[in-house]
Amino acid sequence: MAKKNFKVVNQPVKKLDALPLALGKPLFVADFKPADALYAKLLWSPHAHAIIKSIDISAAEKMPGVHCVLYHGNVPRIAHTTAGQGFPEPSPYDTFMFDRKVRYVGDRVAAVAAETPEIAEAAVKAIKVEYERLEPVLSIEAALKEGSPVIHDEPEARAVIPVPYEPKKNIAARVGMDVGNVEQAMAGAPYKLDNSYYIHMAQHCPIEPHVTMAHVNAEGRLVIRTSTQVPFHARRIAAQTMDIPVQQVRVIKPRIGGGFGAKQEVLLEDVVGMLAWRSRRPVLLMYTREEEFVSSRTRHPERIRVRLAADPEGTLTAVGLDCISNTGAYGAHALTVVCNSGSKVLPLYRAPNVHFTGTAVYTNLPVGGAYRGYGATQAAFAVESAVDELAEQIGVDPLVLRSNHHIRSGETSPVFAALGEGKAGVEQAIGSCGLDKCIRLGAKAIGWKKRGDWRKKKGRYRRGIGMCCLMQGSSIPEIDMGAASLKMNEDGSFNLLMGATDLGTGSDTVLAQIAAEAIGTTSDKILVYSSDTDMTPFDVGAYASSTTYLTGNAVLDAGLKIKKQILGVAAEMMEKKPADLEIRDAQVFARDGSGSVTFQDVALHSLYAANQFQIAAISSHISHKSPPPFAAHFAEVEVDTETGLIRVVKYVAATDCGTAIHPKLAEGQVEGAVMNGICYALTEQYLFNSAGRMLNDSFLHYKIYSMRDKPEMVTILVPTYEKTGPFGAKSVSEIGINGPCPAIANAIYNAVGVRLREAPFTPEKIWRGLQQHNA
Amino acid sequence: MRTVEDIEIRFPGSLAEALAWQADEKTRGRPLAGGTDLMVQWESGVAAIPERAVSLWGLKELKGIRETPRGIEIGAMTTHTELRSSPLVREKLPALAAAAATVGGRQIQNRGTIAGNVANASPAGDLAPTLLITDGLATAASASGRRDIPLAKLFTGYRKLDVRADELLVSFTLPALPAGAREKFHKIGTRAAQAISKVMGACRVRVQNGTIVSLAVSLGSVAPVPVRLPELEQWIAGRRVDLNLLEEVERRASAEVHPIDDIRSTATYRKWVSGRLVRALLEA
Amino acid sequence: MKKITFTLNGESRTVAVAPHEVLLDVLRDKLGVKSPKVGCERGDCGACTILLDGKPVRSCLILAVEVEGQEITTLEGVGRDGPTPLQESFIRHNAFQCGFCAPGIVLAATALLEKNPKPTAHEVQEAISGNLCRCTGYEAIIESAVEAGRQGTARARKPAARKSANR
Repeated sequence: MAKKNFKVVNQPVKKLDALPLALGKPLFVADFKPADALYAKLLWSPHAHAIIKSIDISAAEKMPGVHCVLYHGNVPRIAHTTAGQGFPEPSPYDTFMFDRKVRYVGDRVAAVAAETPEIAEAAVKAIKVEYERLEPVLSIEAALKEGSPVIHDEPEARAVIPVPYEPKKNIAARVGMDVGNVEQAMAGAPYKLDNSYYIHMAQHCPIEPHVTMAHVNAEGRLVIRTSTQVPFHARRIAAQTMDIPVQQVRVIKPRIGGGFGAKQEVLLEDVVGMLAWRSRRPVLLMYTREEEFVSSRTRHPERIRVRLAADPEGTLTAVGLDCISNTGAYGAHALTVVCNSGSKVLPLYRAPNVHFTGTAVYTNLPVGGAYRGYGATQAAFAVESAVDELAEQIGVDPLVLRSNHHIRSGETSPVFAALGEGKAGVEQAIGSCGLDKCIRLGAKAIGWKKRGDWRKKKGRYRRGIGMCCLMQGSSIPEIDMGAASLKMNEDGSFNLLMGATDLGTGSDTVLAQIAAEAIGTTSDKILVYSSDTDMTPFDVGAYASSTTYLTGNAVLDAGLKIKKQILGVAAEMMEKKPADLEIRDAQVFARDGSGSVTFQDVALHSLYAANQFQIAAISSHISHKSPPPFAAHFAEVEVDTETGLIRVVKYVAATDCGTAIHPKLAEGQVEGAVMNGICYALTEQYLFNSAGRMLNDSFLHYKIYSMRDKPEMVTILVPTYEKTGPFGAKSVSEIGINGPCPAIANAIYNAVGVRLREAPFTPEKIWRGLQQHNA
Repeated sequence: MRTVEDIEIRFPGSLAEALAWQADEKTRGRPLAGGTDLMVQWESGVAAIPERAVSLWGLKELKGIRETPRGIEIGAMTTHTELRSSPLVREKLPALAAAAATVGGRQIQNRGTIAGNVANASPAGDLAPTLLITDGLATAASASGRRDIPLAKLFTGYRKLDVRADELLVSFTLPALPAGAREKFHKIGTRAAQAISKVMGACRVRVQNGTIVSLAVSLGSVAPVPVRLPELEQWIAGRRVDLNLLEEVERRASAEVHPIDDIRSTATYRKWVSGRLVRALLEA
Repeated sequence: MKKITFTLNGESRTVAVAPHEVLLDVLRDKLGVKSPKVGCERGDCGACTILLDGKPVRSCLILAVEVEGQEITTLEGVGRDGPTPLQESFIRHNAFQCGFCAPGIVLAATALLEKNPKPTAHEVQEAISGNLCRCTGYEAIIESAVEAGRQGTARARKPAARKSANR
């Protein structure tokens, strides 16, 4: 597709919030705390699995300065899911504001609102709870064992859409599909493998932890200011859980300090809302870092079986994937994450026989949730590791094996139609696909040609190069909806109101660019206000790589409607037909050169002069496709054979995201995702004791990378044009996090011949692998 | 149980005043330096919150780095930033300067002090091995006088020091690197900044004509206290540095340490890495 | 409660604090200074960075009573008369995504440029390693600081005007 002549789109305009952020202006939830706000604190379960036999809040309630104490005995008991998804949610209703049973160390027991944090803390300590401890279930294997303790034995636990849900067996979700017959294909194949991989739990680590503030306004409505990716779902679920009408709740999202999926969860809004509702005082609750690790959400760990088969020519004949995810104590995103392990990974390679099962099991561990990559991260590690292993068996360059089999423009995959989110998927043919070019440019940047066999490498420090290919999606087709409204002001500026949620990604800027391009003005003339359930149209929120593609299309459509209205007014002013006019640089010109009017002239005319009306438009968009972005990642690592320490020397990520609406911000998305992926692969992990308590709930012991750990990073954007996207755009935010685990695992193998099928790749695991080599 | 809000923080105007307070149980407080370890321990409940704390941060008598006939004297309240940027420390105690540069990030280095790091007595404290290899002294003061404590005897157990409740650490006197000797500090961890390391170590070694004249080597994170390796040090004196020697060093160092499993690493791996680390310290 | 007096962004301020109150909370809740952020409350993330007598420190690890008579600068005191050249550089590079870590990073970079007006990328990485960012890959942040130095914008911070009025 030829490069379009964009004026605003595809340009590095100034990020709308760049100035206030660099000046440190108050923009975040806690910055708005009114002086009379109460502080909330939660009491957490010290046990992984227990029944609350008795609870006594009287001492806490009597403490001076305590305004409200909540526990299961004094709040509505309404089964719901905390997963901020569309309605009806594909996640099971297995959660209560407070329950009589606790299901992991860090589960909610009670909440307090008090005048100071110290009083709140003391009141929490004054709550007396007697527990009857039950046997905890602390692994996938334990959960599936015959006769294992049942974690969700409450009668209310149910799925609200027709999907398998078997809580008596600790199964939170099941999904699967078959095309052809993988078993048969495996049986006769000369090249095949059947391996098991494990990928671990991790936390999003937004630097701003979850934080919510609520107050009851003069009209008696509940106003919740919250750090969320899903303001409209937050409104719905908070109202549902508190048992009050949706119209009584207004949710406002200010700037938010990072989310990465963690804030696609309606985690604090219900309890903070209830504390404010009961106490009639503003209430602030901010998680501590320890609470963010333990009582927020995590990446679902998965145990994954991969089967691959190839014929004598080395053509892939079968891909089988069986994923079992650990959803922890509650089933938030249980079905959809494990489903995405299939749907966002399997279509990448053509094979006549495809098999997939996904199972999510309950355990008494911290709760899984949405996390950038959303199941694709987990499965990409397994499949992309296995592809390298198969290539070695066949004796072919793994880059060539991938190039020969990956899906191309115009092709489809049976997986698209088979796997949806809680229902059948949507058939789609691939529109744009720049994966070939991603592979080519990435290979050149990393120096793929110099990659040698590990058996020939010597010395203490050995280098290796690995790669992987990736795809994701852009929004959830036939399910998600985004809307936008635009109105023109008298100086020729525009208000753009959207429910879309900028969580630091720069989506406000990107959407302003789309509006400006559509209308024919500059992005600084677009005044963006996003995410306020009273003021902005609906949007499902920031998840599923959807904002640019989905809301972007709504903004584009609204912009085109505005353009039409502007042309109509200008035609009246200039006594021409609209068709004889064109818009350039915020002015309307007669094509015959006979005159022009500015946007300001048009606006003033429309508001004050004649036939007055508000130039305004609202548009909604649902998607019928989820066009995948593609990427090829390459890692060069250096392994210290004496200590097992790994250093990522260089990392190349080549990404096809269609048209990059804002190339710098798109690169920023890739870099941030890759950096997160690298430390996930190497250092991040949850360590538990035998009772299910997390042992490393701080940034000192849960290690995310600092600036000093950053490898050399090369970010390549490969432009393509996705016809269904706004100005050719696809998504870019999630895909980058999926690459580091497989690319680094493959690079480690290429360096020292140690194949790590269990992440993270700690020095000790590599050292043990090297010991086995030597033995 | 005491909570942090009950604490009383006192600010002495002079060292003499602080020592007078410390002499009496009724006025005595927990010594507080830059707070980079202690504040975290109080907030997270790892350490008991004392009734009183005595802030030593502002005491000018405890600041400064100077050369004395006994060695480089470093005031207790000297920060990591001051250690890493002092020309004297960089030249005469290079391992200490290197270790100070790896503690936390800049913000921690600007507040954390040498005495705070030592008094925290964590087996994973960054500075301890570099102090131990100097065979230097710590000086503790009390209202009744001063006492020099050989560093080798300072660390008495897990998070325990040979310092009395009425005493304060006031300075460290560390013999400078002798002519012809070199020092090295090395830590093995998975993150560059703010790393709690798996194993760390320092050595001071003098080699003459390819033969080791003397060696002092110390490791952290392998035992409840930072340790020297006396058996290895004794054995190695007078031997020639060659590949065989280095291999033997690795074996002996590994055998001489007795680490434990914890959440960061297993004992087996630590033992192995200890050997490798000592070998790497000796390799020029 | 104890009354303490210190200089905050060039102005003398007096505030009553309890001995256990950490500086970060006093700045945010009692003095209305919101740029230092609460990210971990235990000295690991750097979001609460302030300058104490010109040096970057973590305000979550300092008791308010400890700063009697000292000079504190927060980001409010740095870009008061409009963005500094360093801040302009961060803006030009769209260096921040969510920006929650921005105040700490801008201050750490400001302190670096005052000591070392033309830092290399490596020096920037070393000096700001105490500030965690989860959104970016740090690339644009490092570039911004290096470029601000390269352009010779020597004075990263304008000297704050001194006023003595107590509030």
